[in-house]
Amino acid sequence: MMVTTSSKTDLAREALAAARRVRIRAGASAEAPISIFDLVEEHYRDEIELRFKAAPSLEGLYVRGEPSAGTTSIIIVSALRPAGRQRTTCAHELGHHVFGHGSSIDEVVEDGTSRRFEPNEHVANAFAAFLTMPKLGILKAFTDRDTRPELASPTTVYAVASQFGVGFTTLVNHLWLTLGAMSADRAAQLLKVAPKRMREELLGAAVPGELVLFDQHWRGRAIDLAVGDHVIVPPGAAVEADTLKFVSKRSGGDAHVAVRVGRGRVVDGDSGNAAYVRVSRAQYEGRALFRHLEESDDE
Amino acid sequence: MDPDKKQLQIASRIRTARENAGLSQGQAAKLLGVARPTITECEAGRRKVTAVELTAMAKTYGVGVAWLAGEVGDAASPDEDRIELAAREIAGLKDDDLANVLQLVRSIRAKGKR
Repeated sequence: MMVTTSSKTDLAREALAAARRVRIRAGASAEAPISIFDLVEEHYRDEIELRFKAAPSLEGLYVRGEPSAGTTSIIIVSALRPAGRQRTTCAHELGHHVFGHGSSIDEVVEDGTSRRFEPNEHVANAFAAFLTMPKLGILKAFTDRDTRPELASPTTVYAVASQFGVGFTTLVNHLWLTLGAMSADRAAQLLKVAPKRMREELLGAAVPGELVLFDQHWRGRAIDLAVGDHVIVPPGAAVEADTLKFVSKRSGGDAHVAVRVGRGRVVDGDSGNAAYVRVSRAQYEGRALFRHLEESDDE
Repeated sequence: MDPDKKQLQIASRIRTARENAGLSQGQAAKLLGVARPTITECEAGRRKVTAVELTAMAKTYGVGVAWLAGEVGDAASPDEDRIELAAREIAGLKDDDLANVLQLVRSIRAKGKR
């Protein structure tokens, strides 16, 4: 198939409009960070069953249901991928659903590129990006931190990626290639920074799992962690959660590790900022609905 | 099918569905409003499951009642055929992974509206 720039532009425009419609359906503003799993669970619960499954070579799967035949649509997201990647995959599969695409399966591709241009995959990717990283919200997140994408430090970019629940690399590529808010040179510099190395520097140790940076500008989304993941909160912020355990004081704030499944809250007295904390099992497999369900007392 | 074999098949599917839903036996018991030993006995095939219980389990575990009751076989549906066809174009996808997700899809697809 001959793919023209204009056809790609048309697909991007369709994806943007669809992402806006989904946000309206979910009651989310044009700029708010969203939890894509909550969005699917709460606003597509009669249409889609969302699951996590450990299948090493699988990224995600969408199975189209036929309501007239009494079958439900299904999204399966790999339980073994990084959290940001899982959210992007879920949004991508939701894209297939809202565009009425047929069932599709996505394998793990490390460099994130497809072998050939597939319009359905392209529009689902664009939809996922616009839904999880809305332009207004992303640019506001940098303004709130007294900077802009071109000048922001790697740590600030990481904090914004944390707030929107996407990967560092995914955000840099979006700022550069889609939003045009970052130069190619700056993007190249940032893409040389390994997120793993950044986590090591921020935590002062090499630890497995994710690191979320909850700063005073974080708004609009719960802090979602899996057991073993870390979060850095502003110095002295109150952690009202037995799901988290204090680890150490770092230059950026207090580091905590998620130690058990459940819910809690973090309150930063200085800025008045607060967010819920939700912890799931590491590499959780199951219904999205139950991912933060605490163990029963008699386990 | 022999009634005992049928009961064991249902027991096996109940256990698979609970595990696939991400629930421990204790969590499932709490959500279903039954004692934990009830779940254990049902999953071991030592206790018959009533139609009401089967319906409640299907709803909580997010699967079709017909699948849980063993009325849906392991034959591929047209949906699965399409997925398998798509999967053939994907070089990196492992057979085991495909089999596992298709088994999960089979259990869920006829669950209908919650």
